[in-house]
Amino acid sequence: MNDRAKYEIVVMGTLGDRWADWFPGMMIDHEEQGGNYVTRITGIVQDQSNLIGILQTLINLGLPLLLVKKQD
Amino acid sequence: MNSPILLTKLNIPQIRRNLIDRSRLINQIERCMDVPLTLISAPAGFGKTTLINQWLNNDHHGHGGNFQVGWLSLDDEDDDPNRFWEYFLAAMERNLDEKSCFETAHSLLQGLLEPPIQNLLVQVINTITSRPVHFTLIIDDFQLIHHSSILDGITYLVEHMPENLHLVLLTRADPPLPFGRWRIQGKLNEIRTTDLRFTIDEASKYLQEVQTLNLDSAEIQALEERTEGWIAGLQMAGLSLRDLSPIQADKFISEFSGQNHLILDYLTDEVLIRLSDDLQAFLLKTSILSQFCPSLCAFVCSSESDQTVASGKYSQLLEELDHSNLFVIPLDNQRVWYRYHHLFAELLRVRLNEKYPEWIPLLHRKAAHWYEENGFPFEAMHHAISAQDINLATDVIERTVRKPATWSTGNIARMLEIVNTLPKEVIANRPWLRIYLSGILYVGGQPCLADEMLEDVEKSLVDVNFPSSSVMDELFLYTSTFRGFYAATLGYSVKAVHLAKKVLALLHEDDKRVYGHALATLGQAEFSTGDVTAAARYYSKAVENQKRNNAHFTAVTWTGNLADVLITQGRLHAAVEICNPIIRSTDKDGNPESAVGYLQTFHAAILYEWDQLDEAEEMIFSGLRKMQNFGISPNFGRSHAMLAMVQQAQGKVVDANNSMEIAVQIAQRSGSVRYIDRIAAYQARLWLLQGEVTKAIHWAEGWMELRQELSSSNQLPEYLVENEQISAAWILFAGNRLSDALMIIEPIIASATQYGRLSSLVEGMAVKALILAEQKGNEIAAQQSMLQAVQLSRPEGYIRTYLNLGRSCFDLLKSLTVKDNKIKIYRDLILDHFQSHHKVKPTLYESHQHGDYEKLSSREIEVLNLMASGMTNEQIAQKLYLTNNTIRAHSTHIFDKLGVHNRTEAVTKARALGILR
Repeated sequence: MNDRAKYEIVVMGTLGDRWADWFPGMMIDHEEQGGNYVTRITGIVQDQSNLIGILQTLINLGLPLLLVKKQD
Repeated sequence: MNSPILLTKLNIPQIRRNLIDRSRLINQIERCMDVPLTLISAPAGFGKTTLINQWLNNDHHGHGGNFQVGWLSLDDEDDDPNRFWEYFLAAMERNLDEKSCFETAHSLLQGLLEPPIQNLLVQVINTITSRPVHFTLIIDDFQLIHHSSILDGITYLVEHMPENLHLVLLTRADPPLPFGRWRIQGKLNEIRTTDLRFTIDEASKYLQEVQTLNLDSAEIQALEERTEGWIAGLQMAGLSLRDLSPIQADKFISEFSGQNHLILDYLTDEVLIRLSDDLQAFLLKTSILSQFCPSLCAFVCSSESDQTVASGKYSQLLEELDHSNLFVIPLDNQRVWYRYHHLFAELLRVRLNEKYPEWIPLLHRKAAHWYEENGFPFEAMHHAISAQDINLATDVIERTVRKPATWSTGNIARMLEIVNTLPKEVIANRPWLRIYLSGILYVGGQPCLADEMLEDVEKSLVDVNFPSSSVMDELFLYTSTFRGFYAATLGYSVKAVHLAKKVLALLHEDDKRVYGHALATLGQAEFSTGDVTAAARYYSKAVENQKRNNAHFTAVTWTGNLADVLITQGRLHAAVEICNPIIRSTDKDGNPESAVGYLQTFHAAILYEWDQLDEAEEMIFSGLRKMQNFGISPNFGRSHAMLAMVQQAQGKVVDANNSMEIAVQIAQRSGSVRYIDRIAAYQARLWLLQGEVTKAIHWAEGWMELRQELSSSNQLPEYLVENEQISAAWILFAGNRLSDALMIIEPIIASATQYGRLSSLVEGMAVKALILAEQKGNEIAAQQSMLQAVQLSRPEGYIRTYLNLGRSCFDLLKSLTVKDNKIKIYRDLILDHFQSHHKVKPTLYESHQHGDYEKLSSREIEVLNLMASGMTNEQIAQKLYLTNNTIRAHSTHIFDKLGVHNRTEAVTKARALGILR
């Protein structure tokens, strides 16, 4: 299995662009979903540890996870 | 672990004033005293650490003075089994009265790739069980642990936890442990995010009482809702609201509630805006530091002109930050070292990165300089690497390894670890760095790699045209010296002598660089080939030379080697005389602990010979501990082999086997045939002492065959293998192979006599006497040989050599007709030692000779011992962490081997045979 893969992560709340350096190579977009603001982070992760690190950072910042999805 | 920074890991973080009452949670934590494991799991900023602190400061533990706590804050680097368990033990020990209660456990952790954690934990469990305390160990930031062997260890611990030991894990994410099972078994006490959130009541109290804000209930509710009871959020909001008029506050709250940005981002900006520019800059600049003290802050933040006045200013500033709740946490009682709350540091770093990205490498470089200046090379390297300045990092390492202080107090094993992370190209251009690194590899137990590194250096010197030939000469001088020294230890005496003489010819006696090393090389080479007189002479000169040059590390280690030579010469008292003043010396005498630890093994060998077993064990433990702080204990397999022999003599069979296993691993890792052979001979002796005659004989036969092969192809090593030879002779004798044994022992006696190696001579003569005693018609010769051994060994008081030879030695000694009164007193003393504690465990191989029952394994003897103490099978199973079935199987084997039918008969027969005391 190739470890590199494209992932989509959606969290509740708005994560400012200043955090971009904490998620190198990922795109950060904001949108409204049913009255709530959410942040969508998409991009290539190197492997599962990389993914876990990203999720951990988001959780540490207090942003509840709404979705984690591997894209084909 | 002497560095003050590292010790802060074991400190309970200092509690902030003005905390609100959280009795609902305190009561829940208190349950930790009833279960093995308490898990406090929530993201950052939910007040986990504060809460456990609050609980610790409560007096209502109801356990009187018996309530004890250990604390361990983990760092990124601690996800490493050896490091983790070292800190684990240190945290446990810190609050137990005796420092040494986990020595055996420590000795299991000597830098092995796979430390026997279960054995270590059994030691811990037994120690705690035997104490009248309730011990709670709190581990903070457990989310950093992923290594399966650590997690397995924690699982084992939780499942075998004694009632008076409790574990509390503080973590940002649930670690992969079998919580489901523990929940069902009632072993788990859990406090989670939902529990930790501030209720509206708590939020209200917090904002009004702690932050002393005047808010109405609608405002409080708005804040609570927006932050969802997240304490860090409320704290930031509180800070932003400070000094605002009611109207401004109202405005702030309504804006905040309508905000959809990351709460902390928004709030951090709000908090920072309200601070002075100076203070803002200070916070941003120091955010790159994982901990800081006033002087470090001054160095990192100030321009060069005002550094002298700055330190006092920053000390005050840090206290102010602490007082105003600005997320700084004091790390010691003296309030010298602080760190930021992790989350706050992260928020600051984001802003630093956004506003002043160009500062970042500069700040890291400054931090690297401060840490290096103040003797923290690891922190310095960390910052140099963060500054992406590989050359600076390499400079730091090179300067550090060239400092004598590094060799006295530094942790050189860790240094090596860091060096290995640097790009090879960078190292390749640094011949000096590589020369010193080879020294680290050498003392770290990798003599072959050390030599290869120098060979590479020499090749690169020839390949690259070095500009100045004097620099080149200097480099070659060092590589030749060190390669000679390594060759001597590895047993290549001819090469060693050649190189050492070449070096000596180039240098004047007053040379401060490597003259002493060349002398030591000659000493080691002579020792290798068996000329102990010459060896002692060279080593004495080498030590003198190093003392004159204030080279303490080598002066002490070579005194250790000199002691080794003296012991072989049979000058035990003289050896003690040179060791004692060094062991008793204090820090200010300048003797590096690491080197003293090394030397202690030799002293322990003498104590062992004098049958002072507890003292010998203590001496090795304390020596290992000293070497371990330095990171080099893994190098010294002989310490562990010696420890195994001592523990065997003390009757601690399991410990002895553990120690020997470690010695074997260390030897194998060294890659040196000579090291491996030497330890294998110790292992074989241990087997024999444990009655594993078959294994011992298997070794002896293999060893002899190999010697035969090497000899016929003219490839015998250049070094003496006397210890191996005596071991083989002794083992073959025990296996009744008398003529083979005699064939080995005769030449040893001749050579030992010629060169004055008294220790080998005494042992050789005693073994020979035992062989002769078994041969018809040689009884008188046997008596003569034994008497001679006794006469030779009397002045230096040898005892253990005789005791290890077992029952037949006892019998022969007893039957001796001794005329000289002095000799008689000494002989009787040896017999007393036999009879006092060692009649107990006359070594088992002699029963093999008498051939009436099969040998018991060491485990079986252990079980038998416990049977004799009256334990039930179930109790034995518990004690040894085995199942009942296993114990039953062991019992059956024991009965079979002894030819008995029940426990009482087994114990009686074992006593009669001398297997049990």
